[in-house]
Amino acid sequence: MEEKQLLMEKLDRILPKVQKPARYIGGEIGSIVKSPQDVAVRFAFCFPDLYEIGMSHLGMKILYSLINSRPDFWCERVFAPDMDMRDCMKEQGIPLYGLESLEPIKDFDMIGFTLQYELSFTTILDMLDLAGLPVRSSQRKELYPIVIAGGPCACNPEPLADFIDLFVLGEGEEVNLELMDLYKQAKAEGWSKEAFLKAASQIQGIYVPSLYQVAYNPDGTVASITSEEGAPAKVTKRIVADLDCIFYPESFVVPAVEAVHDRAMVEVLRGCARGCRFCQAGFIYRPFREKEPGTLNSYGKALCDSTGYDEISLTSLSTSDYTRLEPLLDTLLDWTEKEKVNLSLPSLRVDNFSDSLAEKITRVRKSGLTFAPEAGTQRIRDVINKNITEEEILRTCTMAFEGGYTSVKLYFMLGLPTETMEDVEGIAQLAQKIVNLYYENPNKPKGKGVNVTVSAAGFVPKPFTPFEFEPQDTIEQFAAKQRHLVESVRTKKISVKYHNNKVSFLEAVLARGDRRLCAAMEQAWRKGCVLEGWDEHFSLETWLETLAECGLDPAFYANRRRSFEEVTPWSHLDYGVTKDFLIRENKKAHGDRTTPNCLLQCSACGASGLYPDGEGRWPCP
Amino acid sequence: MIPVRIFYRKAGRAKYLAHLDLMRSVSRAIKRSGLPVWYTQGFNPHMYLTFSLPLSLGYEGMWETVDIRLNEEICSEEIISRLSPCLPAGFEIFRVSTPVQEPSAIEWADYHVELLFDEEGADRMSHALARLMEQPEILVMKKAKKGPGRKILKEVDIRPMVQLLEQKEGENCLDMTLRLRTGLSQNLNPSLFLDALYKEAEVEPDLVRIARVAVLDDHLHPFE
Ligand code: SF4
Repeated sequence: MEEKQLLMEKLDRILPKVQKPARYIGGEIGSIVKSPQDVAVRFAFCFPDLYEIGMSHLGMKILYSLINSRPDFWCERVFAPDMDMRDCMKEQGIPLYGLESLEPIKDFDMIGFTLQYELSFTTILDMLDLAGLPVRSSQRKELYPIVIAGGPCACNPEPLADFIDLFVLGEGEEVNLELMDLYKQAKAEGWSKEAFLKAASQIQGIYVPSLYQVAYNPDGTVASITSEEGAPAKVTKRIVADLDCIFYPESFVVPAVEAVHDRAMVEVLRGCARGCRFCQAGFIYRPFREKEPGTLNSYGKALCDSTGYDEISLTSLSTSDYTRLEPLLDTLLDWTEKEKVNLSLPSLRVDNFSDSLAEKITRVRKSGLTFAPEAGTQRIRDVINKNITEEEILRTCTMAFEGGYTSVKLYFMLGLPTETMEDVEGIAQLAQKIVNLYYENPNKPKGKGVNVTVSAAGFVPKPFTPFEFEPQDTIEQFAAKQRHLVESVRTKKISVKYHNNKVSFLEAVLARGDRRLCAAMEQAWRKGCVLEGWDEHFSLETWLETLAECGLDPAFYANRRRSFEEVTPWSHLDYGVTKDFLIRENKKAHGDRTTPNCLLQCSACGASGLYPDGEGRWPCP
Repeated sequence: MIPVRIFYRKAGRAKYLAHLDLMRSVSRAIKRSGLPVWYTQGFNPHMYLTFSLPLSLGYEGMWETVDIRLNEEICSEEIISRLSPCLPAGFEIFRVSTPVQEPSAIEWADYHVELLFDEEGADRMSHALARLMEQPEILVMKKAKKGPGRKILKEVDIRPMVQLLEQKEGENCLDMTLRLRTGLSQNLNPSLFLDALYKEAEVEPDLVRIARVAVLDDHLHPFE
């Protein structure tokens, strides 16, 4: 029997037994099926988490459509199977397959993973294994498949260095096609894997970990990182200089099973002008670049037409910083109201929520209101450079309450540098002030109480932020702060939610880890760590045991202060922002001093040097 | 406002869409097609969309219907040609017409069932089927509603709700066509009958394929 028919039959045996089988069968509206004979390079885009999560991800949608826009390339989607499906696949001997062709990805040319969060790393190993491939790069000797990875966590990919053949740093639109063109040539000319990797390392933005040697000091810190075989000493990330000219999909694959974000997404800008010191995305996606309202409006229209979605979200790190938000909303509202399409605006910030904008937003939706003050006291907000005053927060809430809102969600972080118990109490006090405000509003809806949700995440110090030098709070310190926060709340109108400290701890270990973690990563996965982003599958105990077996101390990675002079495991990667800038910002943080955002004044972070026309383009935006 | 009934087949990959996902997929397909569909009025308008008879997850359907309403008259051919390319893989619209009957007119449905065995078993199953159909009654435990929101298991005789129309035995497989009571008042899911069959045969197939091939009224005419 033909292999594909055999797979279909095997799937018919197991799919009726698993939860939400439509996740594993493809065929959705907008999915692209080509014929294998017609394409030169087949690419498996793997998202190391479940379908519902992966299908929400904008980056994947962009690259999927982009690669498929080339007649000689075919990109398929692959997600991690949930546990029940994973067991069935193993039992029936079904290798991981692409959702479009239903063919095993081990026969593809390239397999690409997106690195969105550290806790998905073990799932990557599991997916390689399910595909029937050795997890270690050195054991995959052929030119195909080449295993690549990109996405935010590629800014410190060292804990994955032994598994991934090459990493793509920065924005993928241009560099992915360059890489695939090189691969097409390599395949046609019969290059070896080594020859291909060596040539790939010459493309800006491509990091081939096997071409770098890492030496360590006796105290365990990195002594040096040296490149070999002509690979650049420093790999610089890629950016797309002109966002209005770059590819944007006119169609999405519409998920068969409801995804977390199941709507037309329009990306309004890249980067963030703010410079919140804890936020990795805010630094690694610099510089700040916007798209034209006209471009965005036509994306939104095209997407709704092609997908049948009745909701558009304007996405970015900071949509309300978009300088032409009002004209954009005007053009969009022009047709969306007629066509019964809703607009949603995530991540609105407190301080630029003007009256007329608020009016437009009320036309847009009236569900909950979400703010991220991140810290409870002004002092800490200055430390983290979150340029919001309490007065601004309260003013916005007053406005919202007058507009009929009755619930507010507030996001905070615990364990920020220099935080004291007083700062923790400040969170409860701020929430209390918001509750009080609600009851002071004479026009509050009758018979309705207010609901303030405080969500407190554990702070994870990340590479390429001014806090990359900072120790993380220990699990015990986190727990004490959480207890204190809960005890400081005196009303049922405020509910407190917090994250699992153990998760934050492992994130901190992996985020700033070095290559020696690869051994532990493989061991932890072999012991069953997979889909760790899901609480029910997460086991810190397994990790602690494995790290100890490998002679590694997690506190060395998570809870230690690094000197400014220390060579970091990611020091051979260049994301634009300079270490000097990060040190300057760190010092200002410890002096409670803020830095203005890029729209007001440039603080010479270095990111403008990423523009192809070089240094000196300021203001960056 | 013009009522329209869309008849479609749902096979292949599409059989794994759960009913809720199917409803969402079809409503998006209709939106994508740009057909001038009628929305319910009121504060939260939504597309009018009614499926006459939900199909279990994993079953194929050859006579599925969904009702929509249009704001203007559009000929069937055009509806088919506009909607067809907007549907997910495995859907095929084969007819569009004005609804004749209410969904409550549905009384029976024919199911084609294919049981596949890795090794022996087809023979035993076929004998068991013969025995079962000769019995005056087939008692199974069936979920029944008892008051609002309460469900209990009740023993019921499903024999009057089953007719065996056709049976064919091949090497390692047993095919049959069953006519089952289907509809709002009485409804028998094929899996209930099949479970009784497996119990009688003391063997389970390795692979089951089920397709609802016809949906009928009480005169055994196709539902229209
Ligand atoms: S170079 Fe200046 S304007 Fe550009 S991102 Fe850096 S700080 Fe902001």
